Formats: sequence, structure tokens, C-alpha cells
Amino acid sequence: MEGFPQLTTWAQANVEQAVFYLLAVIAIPLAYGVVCDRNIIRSGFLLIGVFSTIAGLFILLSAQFLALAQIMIYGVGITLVVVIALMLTNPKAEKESMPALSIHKGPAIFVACFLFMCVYLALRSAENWPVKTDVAALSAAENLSRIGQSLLTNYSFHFEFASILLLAALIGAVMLAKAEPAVHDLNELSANEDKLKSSERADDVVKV
Amino acid sequence: MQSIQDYLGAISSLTPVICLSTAILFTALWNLFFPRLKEITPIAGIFALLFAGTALWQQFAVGSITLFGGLYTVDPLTVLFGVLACGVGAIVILMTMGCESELGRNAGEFYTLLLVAVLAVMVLAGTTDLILLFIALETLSISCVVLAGFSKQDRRSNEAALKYLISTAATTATLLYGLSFLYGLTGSTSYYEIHNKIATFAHAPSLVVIFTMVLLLSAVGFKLSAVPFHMWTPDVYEGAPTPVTAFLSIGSKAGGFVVAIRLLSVVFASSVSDWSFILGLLAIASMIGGNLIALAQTSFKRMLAYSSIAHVGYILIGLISNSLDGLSAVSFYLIVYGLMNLGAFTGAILFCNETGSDRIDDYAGLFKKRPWLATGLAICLINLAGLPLPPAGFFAKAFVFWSGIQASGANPLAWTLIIVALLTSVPAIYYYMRVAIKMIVKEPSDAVKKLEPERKRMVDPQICPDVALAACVAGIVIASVMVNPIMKLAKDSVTPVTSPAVGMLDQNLN
Amino acid sequence: MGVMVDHLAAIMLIVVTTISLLVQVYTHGYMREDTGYSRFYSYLSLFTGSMLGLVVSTNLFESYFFWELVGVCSYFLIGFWWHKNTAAEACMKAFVVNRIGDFGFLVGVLWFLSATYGFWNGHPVLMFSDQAGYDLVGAIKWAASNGSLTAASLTAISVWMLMGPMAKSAQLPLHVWLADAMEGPTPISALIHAATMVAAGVYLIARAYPIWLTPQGTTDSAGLAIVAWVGCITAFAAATIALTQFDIKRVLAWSTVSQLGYMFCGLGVGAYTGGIFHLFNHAFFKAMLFLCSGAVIHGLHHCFSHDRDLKKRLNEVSLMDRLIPPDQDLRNMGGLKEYMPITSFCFLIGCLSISGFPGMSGFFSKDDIISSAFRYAGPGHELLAWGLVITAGLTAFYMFRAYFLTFEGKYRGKEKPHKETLSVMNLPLLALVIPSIASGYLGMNPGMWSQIFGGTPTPLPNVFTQFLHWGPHPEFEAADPTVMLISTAFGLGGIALAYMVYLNNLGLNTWCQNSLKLLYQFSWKKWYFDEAYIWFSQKFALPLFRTAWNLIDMTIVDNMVNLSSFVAVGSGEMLRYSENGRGQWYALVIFGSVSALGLLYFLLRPLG
Repeated sequence: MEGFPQLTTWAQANVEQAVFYLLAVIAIPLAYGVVCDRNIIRSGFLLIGVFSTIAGLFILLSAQFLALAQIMIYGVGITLVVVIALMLTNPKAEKESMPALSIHKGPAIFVACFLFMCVYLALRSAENWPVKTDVAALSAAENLSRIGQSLLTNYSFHFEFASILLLAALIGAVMLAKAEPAVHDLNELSANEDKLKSSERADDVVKV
Repeated sequence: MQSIQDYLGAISSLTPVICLSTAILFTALWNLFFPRLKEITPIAGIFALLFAGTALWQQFAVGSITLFGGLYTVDPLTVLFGVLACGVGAIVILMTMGCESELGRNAGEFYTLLLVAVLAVMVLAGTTDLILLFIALETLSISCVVLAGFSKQDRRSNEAALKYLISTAATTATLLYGLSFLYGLTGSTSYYEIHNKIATFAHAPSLVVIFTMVLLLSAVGFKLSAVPFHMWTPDVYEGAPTPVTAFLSIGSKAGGFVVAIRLLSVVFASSVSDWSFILGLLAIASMIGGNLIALAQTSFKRMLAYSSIAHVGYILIGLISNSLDGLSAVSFYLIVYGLMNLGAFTGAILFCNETGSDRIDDYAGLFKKRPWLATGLAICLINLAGLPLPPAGFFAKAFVFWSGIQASGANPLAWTLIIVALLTSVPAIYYYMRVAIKMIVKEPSDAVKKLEPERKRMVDPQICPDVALAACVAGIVIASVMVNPIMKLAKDSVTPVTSPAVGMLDQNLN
Repeated sequence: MGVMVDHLAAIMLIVVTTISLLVQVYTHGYMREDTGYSRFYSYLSLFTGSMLGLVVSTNLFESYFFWELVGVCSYFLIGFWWHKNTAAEACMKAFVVNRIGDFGFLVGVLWFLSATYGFWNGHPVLMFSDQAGYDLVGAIKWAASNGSLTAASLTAISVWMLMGPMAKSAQLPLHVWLADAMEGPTPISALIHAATMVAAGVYLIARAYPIWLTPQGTTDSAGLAIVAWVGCITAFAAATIALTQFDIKRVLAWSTVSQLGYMFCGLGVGAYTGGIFHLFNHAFFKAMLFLCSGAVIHGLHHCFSHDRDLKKRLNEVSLMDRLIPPDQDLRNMGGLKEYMPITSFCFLIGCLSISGFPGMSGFFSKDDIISSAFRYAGPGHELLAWGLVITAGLTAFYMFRAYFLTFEGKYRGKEKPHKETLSVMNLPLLALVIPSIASGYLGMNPGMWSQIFGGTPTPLPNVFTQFLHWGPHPEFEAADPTVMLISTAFGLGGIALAYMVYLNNLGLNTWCQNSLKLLYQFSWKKWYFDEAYIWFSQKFALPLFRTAWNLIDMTIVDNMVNLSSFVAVGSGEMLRYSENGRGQWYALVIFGSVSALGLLYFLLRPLG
């Protein structure tokens, strides 16, 4: 059993790498599935899987709060809600009705390769990524308190401004989703309103 | 952020932002509670914009202040672009009041979203932080998407919104990718700190910095609709309600430019030669593509859309020269271009309200029926063409070209840029003047012949586009007369971002 | 851009504002019944503004800007009665000739700028004068010392630049437009084409004088010799042409060309003060003469206005075979003194002044130029000076010919003109009488007379020279009795000859027309310049231009049009290809562009 301690030390030293590659191996096919699956509901569920693996990556970077937020908000919250909403509003969505990507497939693959080459060259060129080695991992509580502190001090304006973004998105969503009367109805409606107004005005005159 | 005093001080510096936010809430809620009095909404919006603009203007003399530990900066550049955004917003509201029927029953929400977009531009002008940059840019994009799709009855409007959404999502992806690279390289989100970090890199700029730059420039180029990130422009410009198009053509472009100025001259100050080369390619492509395609258009709005691409190319020349003169020429050009372009779009609205047409041929002989409209529109077009009558548009172009010539020593593309700019100005003069000459000289077209001799004066809001057009023309004339004061203003506003002042800001941080 | 008022500019300001004011007053009377009354006033004001801008310009580029602006005003005003074919052609002619001149001027300016480019170094370029020495003088010194400017290249620059003043001030061979510019309304002829704008060429030479000097700043340069010779030849040629013209305005126009030649010659022979002094005096009396001719035309107009047929013909005929309008034709006048005494008096004063009659303003300045020409040490100075003297005699002859034919003798028309009443048109005339006599005394010292009639003449100071001079100190000159005597004799001789020919019917006139037919025709046809130019342009310039244009049109313009339609169609095709789901296509293009830009730059970087 000479080799065993060696193996354990190796495993201890490289556990991060091992987990990283494991997560990557899971995430990449899942992501590919999200893009290529013809069934939109299925690809929605695959997206939850992608988000979960990314949460795993966050944990590797000792960002526990972000990992949890990722799972709770993106993985479960938003994506699930979107999938359920899709199922409710469009019962036919289960059918494999995605428009075929075939027209752009060639160019898309070409561009993707191109982009990959670019990213690869760029990443390889940086000899001096600032890797932090000496920082001890913060505990989850410390981590959380730091984030909270930032949000209420230097990043408070960002925090507040995000609410305006959400407000705009909300108004826009409501506005777009609201059932609109057809044009001729609208004209009638405004005509009625005008009548109403004028009759009110007439009433006013009578009252005076 | 040391103490509660700092915090209160920051809030007082943010008065214009707070004022606009209040107006946004007000306009959103007012219609809900008092639907009968919905006419008040746009007026309240205009007043809020004027108030915010004035409050901003007060800060012009204050100089540079950094808030929240360097994450937000209030300096003359912020003020100038904020005031520009407020002015654009006010004029667009005036334009909209004349064509509310296009918007259906949601006019109140329209003003709310417009105010959000103006606010986003204002914040973009001041942001010196990657996260705030992202949030503000998203706010601008989302409000613009919804605004573009506001005529729900109109299929083209829906299509415009969808296309804008998809394209904007793509650039959001590239932007975020770039931002995360930047954060990964430097470990900070503040522009100033990133600047300092990048300056210390040994083999600066390495390929990764350049790639980051390209990613960020793609997002900025999308907002500016520079070729090759311009594909959405004609569709969205044509499909969206005209006031929205007007806003997109100048409001969101101003936002894009101020982001570009801050990012390039603060964050990437150490790699000027790299980004000026990339931007030079974009500028050349924009000038050639925009002008040539605009030449073949028959729709007035589409022509303005393509020509706006060309104008972006011209403005980029000033940005590329990266000098005090160049950046102030950019600011000057944006002010003047805003006025002329808003004027041209207002003219299009006024014409469309009466004839329902957007075809260039239908504008023929407008002078005979509507002399004032035709004159105002012609002044805007002549200035867009860069002819000196009055010379605001000419000066804007001249300043930009001059700054390009001065920078010719540092930038290998400079002379190519200038030559392309001069050559492509020729078709620009042709297609703008074609409309102006048609309106004034030619015999009236059928659409114009059908017009009543006197326009029916409808209820009040109909007069608002007239006011907007008059304001734009007056602005052009004023800008022509007061070239020097405005240029001085523009110079003052960009002084903080030219290199010596950046050092000063670094000290302020500590 | 800036404003500079030094002594030279101040003198021009006096001239421009005074004459402009008087012409504006006069115009109210002259143009009252014209439909373009308000248009005329707006052009007039635009012109005055541009001219003042030209006068106070601080550098050559600013000058050039206003130079073009006054040119445009002149174009508008010559063509003011555009329904007249002759006016339309005349303004086109003026425009084309001035473009030729301005082209040369621009070439000169740019050449000069490129030769001295390193000198300006952030300072405003091409300043006329500057406290810190960043002006033309400094630039020439700098360029001469570092070898980028030699005497020869400076001369070449000055010759190119001279083309501008030559066209504007109607010097041979670019003089052809000025006589035809008389198709415009008479107040314009007085203001623009006699007193102010045409003098701008002289003014510009004086303003940018260092360019015409040697690099060392002395006046014995080839550039100035050329200016002098151009001036002298023009003065003589124009005077011979004026001898035979019958249109009263044309006679005055040719005399303007001739007098401008004097000014050129004055500047050329180094009489800087003399040239400007003549400009100053000439502006007043020539404006007055033109306004007088306007009054005459105005007075005679009704005698011919009922002849519609003639009017139609006058409107339709082209410039080359133009008819003299009967109300401007000297042959229809005569004896007008009786009907318009004020005008006749003013005209007489003007004639005396321009002829250099002793004691009138023209005498002093002309004498100054001629005596400088005699002293001049350049090539052929004797010839130059005698040319000027003979021209002085010719001037006196043709001016008095005009005077006698117009105002003396018997009235030769059919219908009687109205009697003159003191009107708004006469006031400016009377106002101009004063400077026409008195302005000359600015250049004189009373002590001069006593020196001439006894004792040896010594240099005496005078007001004008003290005010305006080239170089740091004024150089006063002694009066030269010989020169004075000669030129006065020639002037009086000219007047006497005119008197004998036109009032005493000496018969010399018909003798000339019959016996010296060739010479007479030569003068009457204005030395055949117009014919020569037309022949040249029809035979060579236009065909050449047409061929070149066709070539350009075929290769460049057509391709541009094709390219733009190709791009439009191409982009349309591309969009149609991606019709379904354009949105995704857009996203793809964005990603593609990002990677393409990135890769492009990665590949190009090693090169940079």
C-alpha cells in the first residue's frame, strides 16, 4: 500500500480539478441539448440542469451564497415558472414544433468555431491571470455579510436602480400581454367616451 | 462609503435621477387612478425632464465628484449627456403628443417607459462601474424594446420589438462576457481601478485585453448601430412608432457614445492604438454602408435610419482621434445631430399625420401647401447634409474632420478615414438635398395635392409636434450662432476624461 | 477668424462705409420704381458686410472667405435684372473669370502655406500682422533662412497669388468682365465695380505686401516688377479702349480698369502709399462719376421707355452683339447741362479730378505714382513711367470727350429730358464733390508750392504718408516739378484736344474712323480680347473639357451609381435569404462580427 497515501495526497491536491472536469462534462452536453432540442419544454428542463452545474462551479469558487441563489432563483424559480407558463398557455408546445435551425446551421457552426478560436487564442495569451492563492476561503456567513454590506453601501445605487429596470420590464410585460381591443372597437370606445364626456359637460351646463 | 454624511451627500448629487424616478412612478400610477385626466401625464413628464435637466445643469460648475467609492461619477460629461438626454426626451414627448392615436390606449405607459429610457441614458452618462453599466444598459434596452413594440395593432411594430429584443440579447451576451473577462483580469468593477490595473500589466495589451475590448465594443457598436452591428436598425426604425425611432436615433446613441467615451478613454486608456484601429474599421464600414444604402431608399424614415448609421461613422472619427478636440467635436456633433434629426423625424410625423404617407416622392411640392413645415424640414435636412445654411451641421462635420486630421500622426487609419468621410459626404448631400429640393421646387405630388389649404387645428396636443419642430429649428439656428460657447461647453465637458484628469481622479478615490 | 483694424484697414473702412452709405441713399431714388427694390437693398447690405469683413480680416484664409463672398454678391448684383439676357451672361462671365483668378490665388496661398508650414506651429496661420512676429513677414524670413523658400519660389508664389487680385481688379488679361458688369444697376457700378470691390485686389496686394517683396523684404523684387508691368499695360490698354466707346457707363468702366492699373503700378514700383492714396481718391471721384451717369440715365430713361420693340430686342440680344441702350448712348445726349446743372457740375469735378488737373485730388495721387515710376530702378522704368504719362493724357481726353458729348453742345435726342430737381439722388453727388477735391490735400504739404516755385524741393511730411506707409518709418518725397509739369501738360493737352474735337468739330473724329480704321476698330473691339477668348474656349478648352468629363462620367459616376444599386439590391437579397427568422440571423451576424474583428486584429497585430 505504498502508493495509497500518494494517491490520497494527489486526490486532495487535485480534487478541485476533478470536480471541475466532472461538472464540465455534465454541463456541456446539457447546454448543447438546450440549444438543439426541438421540444421547448424538454430544453427548459435541461436548462435547469445547466444552471445546477453552474451552481456547482460557484461552490468550487467558494461563493456559496451565489450558488444557492443560482439554484433558487434561476434554476428553480425563473426557469421552472417559464416552463410551467409555457405548458399552460400553449398546450401544443410539447409537440416538436421548434422552427428548424437548419437554414442557419452551417453559418452558425462556422461562427461558433470561429468564436471558439478567438476565445482560445485570447485566453492563452494572458500569462498573468491574477490567481489568488493566499486567501482563505470565507465561511458562508462571512460571505453573506460581505455581500449584504456591499449592497447597502457602495452598491446601494445599483441595487435601487435595478428596481427601475424591473419596473420597466414589469410595465412592458403587462402592456404587451394585455388584451387589446381590435381597432374598430377602440374607435367605438373612444367615440362612446367622447359622447359620455359631452353629455357630462351638458349635465354640467344644466347644473350651472 | 465611509459615513452617513457621504451617503447623504451622494443622494443630494443624485437629485436629477431621483427627480426622474419620482416622475416615472407618478406617470405610471396617475393613469391608474385618474384615467380621465390622462392628458396631464406627458405634461408632467416634460416638467420633470426640465426640472431634472436644470438640476443637472447646476452641477456643471461643480466639477468632478465621485460617489459610492468611485462607482458613479458626476462630472461635466455626465451633466452634458444627461441634459442632452433630458432635452431629447422632452422633444420626443412633444412629438408623441401629436400622434397618440398610434399608441392605442397605453399612452400613459408610453411616457413612463420613455422616462425610464431617458433615466437610463442619464445613469449611463455617469456610471464608472461595470455592474451599473450593465444594469443601465439593460434598462435602456428593455424600455426601448417595449417602446418599439408599442403600436400593438401594427404587425411591423411587433416585429420590430422582437428583432430588437433578439439582437439586444445577443449583444448583452457579448457585453457580459467582456465584463466578466475584465473583472477576472483585474478583480474590480470600478473603471478607475481597472484602468490602474491594466496599466500595470507587463505585456499590455495582451490579446485577452483586446478581445475584451472587441466584446465591449460590439455592445457599444450595437447601441450606436455601427456597421456590422447595424442589421436591426432599418427594420426597427421603420416598424417602431416614429417618436420611438427618433429617440433610438439620438437618445440611445448618446448613451452609447458616452459609454464609449468613458470606457475607451478611461478603462482602455493604455491601448489607444488598438481600439482606435478597431473603431476605425467600424467607422469606415458605417460611412460607406450607411450612405450607399441610404441612397437607394424610397421611404423617408428608412432613409433617415440608414443615414444615421453614416452619421455614427462620422462621429466615430472624433472618438478615434482621442484628443480634447476630438471628444469635444463628438459632443458638439451629438448636440447638433440630435436637433437636426429630431427635427427631421418631427417633420415626418407632421407629414404622416396629414397624408398617412412616408414615401419620399410624396413630399414633392410640400412647400406650396405647408410652407412652414417644408422650410423647417428643409433646414434640418440641409444641416444633416452638412451644408452651411445655417452652419451648425457644417461646423459639426468640420470639427470632427479637423480633429481626425490632427490625429493623423498617431493613427495609421486617420487619412483613410478622412478621405472616406469626404467621399461619402457626396452621396449624403445628394440624398438629403433630393428631399429638400423636391419639397420646395417640384410640383405637388398627389398626396400633397389632396391636403387642405389650411391645416385643421385640432385639439391642443396636435400642436405639440409643431412646437417640437420649431424648437429643433431654433436650436439649430442658436447652435449656428453660438458655435464658440457650445464648443467651449463641449470642451469643458470632456476635459475630465482626457488623460491628465484621470490621474487626478485616482487621487480622489483614496 | 478675427478682426484687425490697422491704418491700412482704417482707410479702406472710411472708403467702404462712406460710399456705401451714399450709394444706399442714392439707391432710394434710383431704384424706387423697380420691383426688386427690397431685394436690391438686401444684396447691397450683404455686400457691404462682406466687404467690411474682407477689410478687417486677420489672415489670408479669412480674406479668401470674404473675397469669395464679395464675389458672390457681385455675381448676384450684376445679374440683378436677370431677365435681360446680357445681364445673365455678364454675371456668368464675371463669375467664370473670377473663378480662374481665385483658383490661382488659392494655389498661391496653399503653396505659401506648405512652404512655411512648420513656422506657424499652433499659431493662427497666415496672419497679416502679429505682435509676436507670427505673421507673413516672420514666415518669409523663417522660410528663407531654412531654405524652404527661395527668391524664385517666392516670385512664383506671388505670381500665382497675383491672379486673384488681377481678376478682381480687372487687370489684363483677366479684365474682360468688368465692362460687361455694367449690365447691373448703376448704383452697383458705382459701389462695387468702381469704388470698393474692384479695389479689393489692390488692397490685398497691399495687405499681403511681404509676399511680393524679396525674401529679404526689399522692394526690388521680380514679383513687384510683374505687378508694375501688369498695371502699366492695363492702364494703357484700357485707356485706349475707352477712347472709342459710346456707352457712358462703359467709358467709365474702362477708365476704372485704367485707374486700377495705376494703383497696381504704384504698388509695383514701390509707391505703397501712392497706390493706396490713389485708391482712396479714386473711390470718391469715380463713385461720383458713376452716380452722375446714373442720374443722366435716369433722366433720359423716359425718352425711350415707350419703345417696346427696342426694349424686347435689348433684353434678348446676347452679350457679344449687344446694343447700346439709347439712354446710355453718348450719341443721344448733349447739352444736358441745361437740364441737369447739378449733375453736370459734379461730373465736371470728377473729370477734372481723374484727369489730374492741378489742385484736384487725382492730381496728387497720380503724380505720386508717376514720379515714383520715374525713380523706380526696376527693368524698363523709363518705359513704365512714360506709359503712365501718356495714359494720363489719354485719360483726360476720353473723360472730357464723355463730358462734352453728354453735357455740352446741343441735345441730340428727340424727346426732351425732364428738368432736374434737387432730389435724393443729387445729395450723394454733392456730398462726394467735397472729397473729390479735398481728399488729395491729405497727401500734400502747403510748403510744397513755395518750394516748386522757388528754391530746391526737399522732402516734406504730409498727413497721408505719415498715417500709412510700408516699413517702420514714413519716407517723404520731395515734389518733382519736372514730373508735375509733364503730367499736367499731358492732361491739359488731352482736355484741349477733346474740346477741339467734340465741341469745335475739328473733324479729327471722322478722320480717325476713316484713315486709322484699323486702329479705331482695334480700340472699338476692345483689343479683340473677347473674340480671342471665345475662339479659344470654343476650339480648345470646351472640347477638351467635354472629353475629360465624358471619361470621368463613364468610369467613375456610372460605377458609383452601379455600386450603390448593387449594394442596395445585395442587401435586399441578403435580407430575403434570411426572411424566416431574421432575428436569429442578426444575432448570428453579431457573434460573427465579434469573432471576425477579434481574429482580424490578432492576425494584424504582429504587423503593427
